[in-house]
Amino acid sequence: MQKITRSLWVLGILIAVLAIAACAPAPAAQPTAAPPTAAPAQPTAAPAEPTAAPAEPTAAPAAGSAADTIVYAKNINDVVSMDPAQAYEFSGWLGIHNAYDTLVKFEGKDLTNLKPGLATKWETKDAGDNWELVFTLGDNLKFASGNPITSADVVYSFQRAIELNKSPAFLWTSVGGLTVDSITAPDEKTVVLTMPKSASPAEFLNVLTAPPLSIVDSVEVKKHETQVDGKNDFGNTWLSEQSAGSGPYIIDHWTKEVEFLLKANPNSPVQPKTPNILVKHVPEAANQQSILEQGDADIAHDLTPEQIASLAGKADLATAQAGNLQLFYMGMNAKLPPLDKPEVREAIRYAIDYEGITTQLLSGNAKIIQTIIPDGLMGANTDIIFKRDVEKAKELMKQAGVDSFEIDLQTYVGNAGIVPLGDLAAKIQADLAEIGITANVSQQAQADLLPIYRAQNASIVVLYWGPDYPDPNTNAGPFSDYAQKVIAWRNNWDDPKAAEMAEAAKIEPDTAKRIELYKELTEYVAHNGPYAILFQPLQLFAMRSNVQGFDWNPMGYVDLWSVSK
Amino acid sequence: MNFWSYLLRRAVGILFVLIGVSIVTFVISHIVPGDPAAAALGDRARDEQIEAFRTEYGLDRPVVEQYIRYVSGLVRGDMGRSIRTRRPVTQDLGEKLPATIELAIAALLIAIVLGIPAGIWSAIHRNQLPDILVRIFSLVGGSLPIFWLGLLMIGLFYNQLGWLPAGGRIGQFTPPPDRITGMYTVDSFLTGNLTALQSSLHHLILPAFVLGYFSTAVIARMMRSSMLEVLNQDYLRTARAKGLKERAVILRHGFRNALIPTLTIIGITFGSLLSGAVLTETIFSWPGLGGYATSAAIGLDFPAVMGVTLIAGIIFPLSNLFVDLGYAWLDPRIRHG
Repeated sequence: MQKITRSLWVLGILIAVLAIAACAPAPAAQPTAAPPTAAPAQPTAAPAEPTAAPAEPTAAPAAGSAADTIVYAKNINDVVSMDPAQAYEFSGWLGIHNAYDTLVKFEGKDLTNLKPGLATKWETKDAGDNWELVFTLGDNLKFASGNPITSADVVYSFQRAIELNKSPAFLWTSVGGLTVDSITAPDEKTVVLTMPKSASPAEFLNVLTAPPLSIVDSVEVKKHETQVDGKNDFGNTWLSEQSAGSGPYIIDHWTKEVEFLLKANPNSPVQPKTPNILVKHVPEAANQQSILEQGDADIAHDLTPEQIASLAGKADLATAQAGNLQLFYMGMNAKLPPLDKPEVREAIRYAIDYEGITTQLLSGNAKIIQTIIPDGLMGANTDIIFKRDVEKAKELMKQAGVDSFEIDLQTYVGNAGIVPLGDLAAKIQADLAEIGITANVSQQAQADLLPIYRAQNASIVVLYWGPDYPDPNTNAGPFSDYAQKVIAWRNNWDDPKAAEMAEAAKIEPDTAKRIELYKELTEYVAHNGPYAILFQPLQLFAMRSNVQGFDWNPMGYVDLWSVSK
Repeated sequence: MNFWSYLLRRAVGILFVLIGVSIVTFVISHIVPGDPAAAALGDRARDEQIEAFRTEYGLDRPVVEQYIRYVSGLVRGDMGRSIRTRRPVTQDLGEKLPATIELAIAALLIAIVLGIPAGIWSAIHRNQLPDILVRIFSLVGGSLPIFWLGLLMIGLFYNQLGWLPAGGRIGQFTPPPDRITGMYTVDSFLTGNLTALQSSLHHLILPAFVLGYFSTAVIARMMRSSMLEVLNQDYLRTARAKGLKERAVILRHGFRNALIPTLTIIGITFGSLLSGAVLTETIFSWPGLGGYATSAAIGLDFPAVMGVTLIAGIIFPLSNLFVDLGYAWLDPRIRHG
């Protein structure tokens, strides 16, 4: 018996030795083992010869080393593709924004002053039945491949997006009113977009800054066109996992639910402060915190407010708040009694404890916004219109001839970013109870609730909405115009005046006048619409304290070329 | 009937299992409430986009027709296109499955290497300190939530000791090995890439241990009880009476017979390790089938759900088949065919 015991001990020791051997630190490149040395030399001149197009990747190459790489921990489960004509998710846009250029752009986190991108100048012409947006491209522009950027690339980029008809295609067709034939290039430097009079050139100029409107290298992409399901894929299969753009970085590779790696583009006039950005898929917030604290990540994207608070005062770590254009709102079915009475909807708006929601429930990580255009977009109305006033709310209920009633209040399950939707619904339920409204809260998956809401069958919802592109009409239209069949439709609010006001503001070419029109619209909708706009959450980040230049754009991405450590 | 006929019979059985699994999964996934278009396209999709989506995925056809189209595609090796990733399901599975198999095999190896000796050790020291220790170990293993254990292990081995990485399959500055099987440890071994081998082993230990701990506990308990049963058998008494050394009695005669019920558990364990790796994969950012299956289920991604279910439908009967073949190897009285 003792010998057997001894054998088992020997086996155990053997296992332990093997485990310890395997636990030995990996050689060389583990970030904890590699102390930062001097910052790597920035590329100073573009290579004389154009760089060759990247070969088909066999295995994903790794980033250089810890010192010349920013490791960005984020849940990138949402990425579907890195092709600008297909990507319509936050993480995909993060990569595309840094690897491509657009005709015009916003700089940093400012979303109101349009700046030249690949186009150095542009003008809007009234061509009788149409608008013509005419762009002139800059000189000596090059893609990462070394190919020159011409108007043919712009035409190809936009036409392929329309032909592919993926998620972003509506930006050209519905918002811009464009077709394949209305995108032309009279010469190598000029691009003309012919838009119907029903579309707004002012709005479309802002749309042009969004990542899907990026310009791809038509020469490179055409080389990789193939047939998928009997149709030309316009290089979509190839472009899904890498880039063919002219931005400060190239997308070296994207591996689904693993990582994407950005490497400096030597042909870009903007040279990144950090040569490599490794965006690692780390789905668990607890893990993101761990690897940040250990120095294996430089930036953590998805920490909870509690985690952010726990990092306060820790050496080597810093936290940051940034803008976020999402609006959380309560939608009320305007045809459902007693919500069909404007006084009842107004009473509900006065019953809500906006201050309590933002300061207590969300620990100050949100800003009270009560109109349909969020702070950060042109035309935003940040006025505080409603303060909690239970007596006034009760008075309004009395005016409506309503004493008390019971109603369903629905929201999605889980959290939306930093916002716990169940807790938010419960808080509103408690507020409404004080004016005699019994709200029966239920939480459902998006796939369950959305069809109900779309079919105008919801009573009260607590949901959120984020802009598709940095223009106020991305909110004003859906919230005001019943015919668009989006939010006004879902809440059964058909108000021709609101729709006309939204349309007038959309097509107004003069920016100052446009802002004025949006001010009028937002005030009108605040009192007459079927919404109680609640707040705009902040985006929270944690990073190593040596990280500099991380200036988050509220559209959901960041100029990574400005980030250093 | 010979051995090959037996295998053929089992293969036909597996085929029927797959047909049954596919029908049940297809029906269930099409009668659950929820709109896959809403899940895939989000709240800003327009009516025409939703209609186009339904047409693209054939969701506007009768369920029977959808099933027939699915099966006819399956026969050609086409499992459809994932609603969520928009890629062929076969391509997604080809990427995810090797990672999960690698993790499950490592977890099973840990469970066998630790569980079987622990069970034997416990049995031969019944009611003594080693037995108590193993029983506590087993009790804890059976009771600890994987999620909590994972975080605990990361806290200890990554945050405190700094011995092991917190997640991923390979170091972030280590290039993965050239793909042969898709399993990093195997591929790096086959290609002689020692840096990748060390890094991938390094990354495999914690998730494999966390995933394998529950199985270790189960195997140890089963091994202990079957060993206790065997230790009282007459043939062991006879072996001892013949003057065989205790080690030979236990390992040559007792162990082999006690292993038969444990083998059943190992077979079942392997199947459940493959399908139960969801939490472990999430905690350790392990890009395997578990996370893919969860996202598919949440996103009502029917083609992906079907693909994962069929894979599980193949793996479970296959592991059972291997167990049955193992019985014959362990006990000559059992003959298949």
